Amino acid sequence: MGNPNAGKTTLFNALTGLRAKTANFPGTTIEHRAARVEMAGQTLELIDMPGLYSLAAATSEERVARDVLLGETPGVSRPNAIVLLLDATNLERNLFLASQVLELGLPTVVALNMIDLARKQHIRINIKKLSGELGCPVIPVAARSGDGVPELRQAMQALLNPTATIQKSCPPACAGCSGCAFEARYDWAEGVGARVTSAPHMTHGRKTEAIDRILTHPTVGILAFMMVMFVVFAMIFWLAQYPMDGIDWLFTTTGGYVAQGLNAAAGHLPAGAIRTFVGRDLRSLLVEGVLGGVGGVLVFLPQICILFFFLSLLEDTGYLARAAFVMDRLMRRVGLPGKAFVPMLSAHACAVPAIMSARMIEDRRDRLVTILIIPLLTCSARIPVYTMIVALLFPTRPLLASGVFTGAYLLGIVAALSMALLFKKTLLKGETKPLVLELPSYKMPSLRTAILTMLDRAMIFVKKAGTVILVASVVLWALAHYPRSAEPAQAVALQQQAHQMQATGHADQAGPLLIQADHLMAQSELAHSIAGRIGHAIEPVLKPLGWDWQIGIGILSSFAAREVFVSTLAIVYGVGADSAHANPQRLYDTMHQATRTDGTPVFTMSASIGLLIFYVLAMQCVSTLAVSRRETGSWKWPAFQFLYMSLLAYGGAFLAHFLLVSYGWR
Amino acid sequence: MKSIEGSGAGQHGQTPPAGLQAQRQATESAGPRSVSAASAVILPGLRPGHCGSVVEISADDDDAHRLMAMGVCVGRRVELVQAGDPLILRVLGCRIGVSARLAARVRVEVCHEPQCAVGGAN
Repeated sequence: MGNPNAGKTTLFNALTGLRAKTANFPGTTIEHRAARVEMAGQTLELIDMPGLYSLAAATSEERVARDVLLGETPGVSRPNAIVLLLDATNLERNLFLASQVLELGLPTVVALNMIDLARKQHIRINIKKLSGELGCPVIPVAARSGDGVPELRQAMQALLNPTATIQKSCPPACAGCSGCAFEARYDWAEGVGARVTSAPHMTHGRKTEAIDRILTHPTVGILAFMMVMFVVFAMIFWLAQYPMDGIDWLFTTTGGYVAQGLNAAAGHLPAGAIRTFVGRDLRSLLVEGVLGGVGGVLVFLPQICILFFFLSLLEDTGYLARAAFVMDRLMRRVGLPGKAFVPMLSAHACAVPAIMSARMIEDRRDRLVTILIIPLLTCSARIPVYTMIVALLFPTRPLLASGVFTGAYLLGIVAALSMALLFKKTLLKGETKPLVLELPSYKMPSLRTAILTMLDRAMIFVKKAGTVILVASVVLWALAHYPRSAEPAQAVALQQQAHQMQATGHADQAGPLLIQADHLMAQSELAHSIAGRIGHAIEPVLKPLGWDWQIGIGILSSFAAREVFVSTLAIVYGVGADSAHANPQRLYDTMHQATRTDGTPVFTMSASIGLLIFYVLAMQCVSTLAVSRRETGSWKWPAFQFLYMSLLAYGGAFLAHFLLVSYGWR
Repeated sequence: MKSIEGSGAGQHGQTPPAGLQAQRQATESAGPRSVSAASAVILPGLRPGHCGSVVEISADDDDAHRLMAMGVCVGRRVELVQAGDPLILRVLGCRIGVSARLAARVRVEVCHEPQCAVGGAN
């Protein structure tokens, strides 16, 4: 354990490598990483504690850390020993925590990190003297290069060796001293620092000061931050598209092979229920339900990886603290701390990593508000829906189209900021925690830490995709396919016609007929399924928005992932799910011509704008709900999130429809 | 070990009254240093590059604690590195950003020695 920015994660990774697992402490949302390592025939469990400045139990991190160290956390046994990490370039500040940790009386070894940087800054530390002052072994290490790590391992083993006499650490002589407990500790820390360091007054390098004059400037700093984030976003959207296409291709091809394999298998089976089951139901479940559903969500994995990779690099350099610093004044106007800005910006790629990165906000209320509003910001899964609606409405007016598209983004931002303000004024009342933030010295980031952080976050996402999202996809698949209905007469006729053509040698003409038959069958299947019935049943609710049951099915099926809306509509309107990708114009044409039973068009201006607003505001994403559950520790908050966003979306769509209709914009 | 733990817990337990005590001590310690109340200013009132020693923190317990954990604690010296909102302080050789609203709740005695925030205890 040690101060934030002391290099704990880097040292932990150097000691454990890839074996670390991330988990929450029981009953909390405070995360820690733990790993089992073999040392001299013993299996040790190493825990990476949250970064702390003090153990006084004033923040939830401090409380959790204290409880764990005292053995008071149920389900976590008291540690046998502590590896206390001190930053050699900033010894005095780090010694404050040391004074509290040493008082716990656990066998302790001090790892004096960043000794290489300290040497570069001409800070000379008398290790022997420091060890004497602290009453415990002190090992100089440079976690980033790995220097000193083997020696630290040895010292840890010695600490756990039961035959060795445990060196009692001596706490600062402060027992019974009056006045501010903090002051006495600081005096002790400063005294020790002065006694063991040759250049105790060396502070931040001039470089850090010079850079900070620019990066923390009230206007230049914000501009610089915008530029940094712009580059990160450009990387997310540009770099991620290649692996995204790859993942998409992988799932589509696998789906193709699975379908072929099952078709072939069905061919060998005797005609009957089992054959239909394998050839139709099982194939559809695996290809559309499992592969389609999970693949549609895993496609966002590259974006998540890239985002966390860059965030970790930025944090490691010390820049993220500056970003929070310059954004603090602006964000405070909506009642959020500066640290909320990075998660909110990340939300424009995907709400899942954004909610995960909201951890950096210390105050519980501020963090909850940020998590609640993050899904209102336009993530990349909404883009296909926006594109479809805009193309549908303004096929020949690109300027207006891009204006409406931008408007949708802005609406998301405005809604998020106003809801933040509203929640801070009502539900999660309380002033925003004023900023108190260390601005650490700039340093070279560790690529290894960035990669490990990225893998760690990716694993969390994949686990979610493997469980919650898989279940949701299969349930939604079942809703859209059952109960089975009779094949429509028109499709059967087309199939017969195609078979006749094949028999008479016109196989080339038979293909399109078969595809058309497939589309008709899919359309009828969906219309008669539970999803279709629900769509019909909720039509009265959708009427005030100008929508019909077909849009209802689309909304229902896109509950797990928004982008599914487009392909569902393609099935509903009988053009086939694949044409949503391959030939979107055909889908738009069909939708243009789509009419209600009374002959009026379905996709009027008012209904479509309402639909756009609905998708800006609605919480149509199971992954986000699952990750909100993980980060808030209960289903209460995601349930509330879903409810308020759905109401907001419905209200927004209703209002838009109502206003447009009353002003004659049909 | 029991006794060490006990004394440790006792000190941690003191956190809420620590704020009060800090204030009390602040008024007491102002005497011996023979500084008139007039020379005490709020932290944002310092000129950039100048420093002062903290005499009073009148924020609520939680915020006061966060400041103290960073080294802004009664009796300690801080330097104002950059004014503005938020402003930058140097404490214990380390730079921290603090929102101006919170910094205004910290009163300091202006110090006239150069570079004193870096230079250790009183």
